[in-house]
Amino acid sequence: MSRNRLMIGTAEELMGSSSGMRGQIVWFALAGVAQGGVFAALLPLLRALLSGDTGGALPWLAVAAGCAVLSALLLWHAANTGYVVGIERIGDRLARRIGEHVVRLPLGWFTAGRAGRLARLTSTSVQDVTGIPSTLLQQIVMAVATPVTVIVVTFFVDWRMGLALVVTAPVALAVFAWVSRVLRDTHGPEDHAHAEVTDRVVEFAQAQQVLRAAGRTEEGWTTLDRALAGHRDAYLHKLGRASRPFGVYVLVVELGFATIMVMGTYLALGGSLRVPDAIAVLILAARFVEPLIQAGDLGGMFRIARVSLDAIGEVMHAKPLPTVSEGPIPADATVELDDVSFGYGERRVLDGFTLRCPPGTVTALVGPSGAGKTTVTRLVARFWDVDSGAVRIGGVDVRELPTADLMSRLALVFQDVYLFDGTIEENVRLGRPDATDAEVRRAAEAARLDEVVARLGAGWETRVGEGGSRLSGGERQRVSIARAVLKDAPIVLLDEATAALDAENEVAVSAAIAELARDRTVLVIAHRLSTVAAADQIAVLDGGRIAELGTHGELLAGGGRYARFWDERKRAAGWRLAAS
Amino acid sequence: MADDDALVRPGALAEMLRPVRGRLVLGMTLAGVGALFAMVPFIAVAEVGRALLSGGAVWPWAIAGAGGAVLRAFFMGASASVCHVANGHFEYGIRSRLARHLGRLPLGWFGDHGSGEVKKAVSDDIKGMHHLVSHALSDMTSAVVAPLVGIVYLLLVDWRMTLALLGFVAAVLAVVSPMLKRGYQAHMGTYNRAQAELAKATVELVDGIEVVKTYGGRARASQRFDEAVTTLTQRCLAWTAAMGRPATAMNIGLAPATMLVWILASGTAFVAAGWLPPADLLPFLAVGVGLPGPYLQVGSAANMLRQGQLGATHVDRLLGLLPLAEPAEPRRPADGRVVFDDVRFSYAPDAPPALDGVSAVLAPGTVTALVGPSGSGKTTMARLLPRFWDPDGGAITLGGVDVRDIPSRELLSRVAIVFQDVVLLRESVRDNIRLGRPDATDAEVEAAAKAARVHDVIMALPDGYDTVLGSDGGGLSGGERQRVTIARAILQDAPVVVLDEATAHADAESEAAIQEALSELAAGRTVMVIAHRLHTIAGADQILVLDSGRIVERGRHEGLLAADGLYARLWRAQNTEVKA
Ligand SMILES: Nc1ncnc2c1ncn2[C@@H]1O[C@H](COP(=O)(O)OP(=O)(O)OP(=O)(O)O)[C@@H](O)[C@H]1O
Ligand SMILES: Nc1ncnc2c1ncn2[C@@H]1O[C@H](COP(=O)(O)OP(=O)(O)OP(=O)(O)O)[C@@H](O)[C@H]1O
Ligand SMILES: [Mg+2]
Ligand SMILES: [Mg+2]
Repeated sequence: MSRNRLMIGTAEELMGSSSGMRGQIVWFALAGVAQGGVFAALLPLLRALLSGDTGGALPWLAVAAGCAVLSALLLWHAANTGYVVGIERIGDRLARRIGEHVVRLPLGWFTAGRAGRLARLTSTSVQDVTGIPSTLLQQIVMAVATPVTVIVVTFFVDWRMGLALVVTAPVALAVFAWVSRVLRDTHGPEDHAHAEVTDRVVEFAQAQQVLRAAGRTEEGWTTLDRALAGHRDAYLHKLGRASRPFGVYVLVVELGFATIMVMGTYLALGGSLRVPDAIAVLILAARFVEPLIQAGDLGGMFRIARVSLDAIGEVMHAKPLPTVSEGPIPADATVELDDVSFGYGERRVLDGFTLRCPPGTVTALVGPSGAGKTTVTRLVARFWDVDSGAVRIGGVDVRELPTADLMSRLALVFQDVYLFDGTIEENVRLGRPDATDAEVRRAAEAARLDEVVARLGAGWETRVGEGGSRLSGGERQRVSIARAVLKDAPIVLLDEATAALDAENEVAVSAAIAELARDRTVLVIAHRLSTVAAADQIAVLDGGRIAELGTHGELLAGGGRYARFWDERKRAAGWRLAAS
Repeated sequence: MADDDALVRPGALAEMLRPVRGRLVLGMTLAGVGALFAMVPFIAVAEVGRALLSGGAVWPWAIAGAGGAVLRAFFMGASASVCHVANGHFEYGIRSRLARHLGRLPLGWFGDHGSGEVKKAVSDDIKGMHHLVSHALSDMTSAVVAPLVGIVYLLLVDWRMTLALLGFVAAVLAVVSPMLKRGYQAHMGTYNRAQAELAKATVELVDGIEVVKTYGGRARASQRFDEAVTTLTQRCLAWTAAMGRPATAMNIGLAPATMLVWILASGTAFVAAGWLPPADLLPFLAVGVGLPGPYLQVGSAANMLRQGQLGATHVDRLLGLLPLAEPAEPRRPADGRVVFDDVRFSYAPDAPPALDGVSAVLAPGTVTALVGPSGSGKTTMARLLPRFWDPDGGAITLGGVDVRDIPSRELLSRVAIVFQDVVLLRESVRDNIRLGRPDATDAEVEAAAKAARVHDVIMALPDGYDTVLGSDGGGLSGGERQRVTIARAILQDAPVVVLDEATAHADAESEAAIQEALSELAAGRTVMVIAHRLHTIAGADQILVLDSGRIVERGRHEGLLAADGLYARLWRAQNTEVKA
């Protein structure tokens, strides 16, 4: 019982509210006691009936019927509320809390393989927990409450038989605990292995192109095979380990019954126990063997629910970035990184990085691949927190801004475009759901998305597929630019926003961005120097800090890193891929 | 789709279970024998009672009852073990079979269905069959055997009383069963879909987390997640309303307590009427009370059976999808010459053609560049070569053989592709690079990484080449990720190399270096390069200019500039910008 309460405590902590499960336990226990009353009535009834006194049996028959009706009503109520409690108060609530919690976690939490795992959590694990207040509690509570009631009554009839009924109980309980322990140790790994299967399957589907190209779908992708075999082994291991204690448990219960059988017969034959009483006790003992064995099984199911809860708990206990609900209002759209140091792990990526982007200007961030350009945008959007120094918007530290406030000021185009499986229009409207049609069209024009919409068969209604997989690279990128333009935020961060565009589209989109910059703060990251040259200031990122800062002309004249960069690009321009 | 989701193809399940049929038959036999023994203690209790009352031999029955209890424990346990082990092997077998099969479907299927569907089939549907294999079949066997034995015994005791008992059970079932069945059919399909939808929404929430964060709670993904939770909750509630109540009614109606009251009531009447000697009531109390018990289990076993069948049907439907046809008479390509001959293709019957009569020859030892506006069909051309899709019209040949006549394994081993969308697997960097050639040595892997200019980056990772990508600390920048995929293609060492925007995210410095490495790679091979940065392909032996799925120009750089068409326009757009 204490374990159950522990579990309910865990569930409620995760849900942040009362689960209603304690109430369920009380109802089921009452129903179980009433049911015990039915069985207990068998003792006086048999005394009367077996002596041929049907008239004397009638009152007890009425008692039994009364208890049965009472038990039925209690059970009906408890079971039906149990379903609703499970679905609405536990399942619905847990799933939503997981969703809400996860989006507040820092990006660092989203390591690979999270998607499949989390999907399993919300769709399967939560469902496991949903069944607790109805089926699981009902069966386990009643499997205990009913026999206990009968045993108590039996003690009044004959203490020796009462003793016979309980004599194996401590042993059974001890073995039950053993079963439970083994399951705890082995079900966890099995669950883990299954989560790994789910992850790998999602990965398998999402990486089809690559896997096929590498011949992995033909010859088998060993990683998936390993996950599948790993799950099989964990499963068989669990069976191997759990079957012995479980078998012992069943045997103990059955031996308990055998004891009662032999003892009842002995006492009845010896004449010290009335025959009808002996028979009644034997009938009842035979009846309770099965529920008790099932209780062992149910213990296993509790374990499973417990493991599910723990898995949910693991996610819910991940620390979100600390947020505030109210903060100062930024003075303007200036973006400022002040002596920022940051690393994803041990290795420093930014080290004393300082940069100021005033409103109404375009700042271009250039630097070699891996220098930390994308990292800068992530810090501005506070996907991660700096290790030291500060990122400020309009003079306010981003850590002092409520998340919603901060996000409402930013429009981002990411280096890796991600679209949601829906229509083009839905994906663009994400930028500002209440935008008018005219605004959506204007954003589309700026991003040259209008051309795409006109060309594709279903126009705005074209479905983009999972992650945007049914659009070409450049089309996808234009959807994400349109989305950012539509958002109409004072600060725009563009990470390689035109990398997948052809020259003509790039020129057009760049012009639109320049237009956008007139009353906004724009930070662009680009490897194509064309986009860079026109910026109001160019920041060259190298070695984790700004190596040079100035306009195109100034930096070229300076003859430093940027000038070398420029040369390199020009050399690359003269350089051609050829097979000679 | 909506309703035939709930339709079960009868043979599907049996066919899938074939590999473990032997084990299952053994398990069911053990369960049947166990069920026989399971009845012995009940009968023994009744007979001991009768013997005590009539003064007959008591001990033989008492011993039989005790022995039966122990034997049933043994057989039931053995049955459960056998079935669970069968299930372990079954799950593994069917999952690998399914994964292999999916890998042979036309790629378009994945675009249409997404990873959610794959996850549901491989992970959830098969999990759904788990109950069936490990529990339902043996439960049903004992649910048939045990009541049969019981009924025969009771009929021998008194047929009228037996009929009274069976009549009651039949009446309860007559009321409840149709409700259960209707509820099941109406709701199981929608419930399953709601669950799959939530899984999919969760995957999107995680995969698109950057977008979700930026667009805050209004993001489509959060919204969809919320909607999916709501839908699932509603489905669960509807399912409970339809199924939960009748199930509870059945549980109450056939509960031992209810049965006891009914038997006592009718038995008292029978005894009072003189139809039944009081002692003959004992068999009914001992055996009759539990008679419908196994049926309650069949109730849940039947649910599992249905759920299993539903899963089996879905899996079966997937296994029934036609894979890309393997050639009846496989032929081997002579060399790396690629010919597109009037190729026509569209992604869907109602979509505009992505390729509209494309003809081209790509000779070994030459570089062919594909350029053109975004969405013009460049990536599509690259995808048809390894048969990710088959053309609707025309043909593609490799080394003189139609790609449809080359066994997939052979074909895929001859084509190395760097995709526009970078996909890395959650595996070590080393395994990612040698995906296409799992037997490559560490030295070869490093050489490829050096050529792709990513070796130093890898060495800086926490575990070097053994760092699992995407794990904590295993993150790479956009350009670094792209370079890993280039290393992958370099290592694959195939006669045909396709590079789709392979250096889009490279900085000038590494781009030049990578191009150099790629030129080395290109020697003697057939190379197809897709690029928007025209300077990178200006030296190609042949440039194909695509527009709306057609090749509108072809030739070498100088010739195309002179022709002053689309290519010249694109070139100028890029180079007026890049004036220094
Ligand atoms: N999620 C991450 N976890 C750990 N390290 C990371 C992560 N993302 C990036 N890094 C590392 O941080 C450094 C900077 O990465 P960043 O993405 O900011 O580079 P970048 O300048 O945008 O490069 P590119 O031009 O290639 O996109 C790189 O060395 C990269 O390996
Ligand atoms: N999986 C798909 N399903 C349906 N339509 C698709 C799919 N992939 C591409 N398309 C469509 O086919 C057309 C050609 O796409 P493709 O990817 O070949 O263009 P591309 O020339 O590579 O463009 P980009 O330069 O933008 O990468 C586009 O209109 C695109 O929307
Ligand atoms: Mg980057
Ligand atoms: Mg493309």
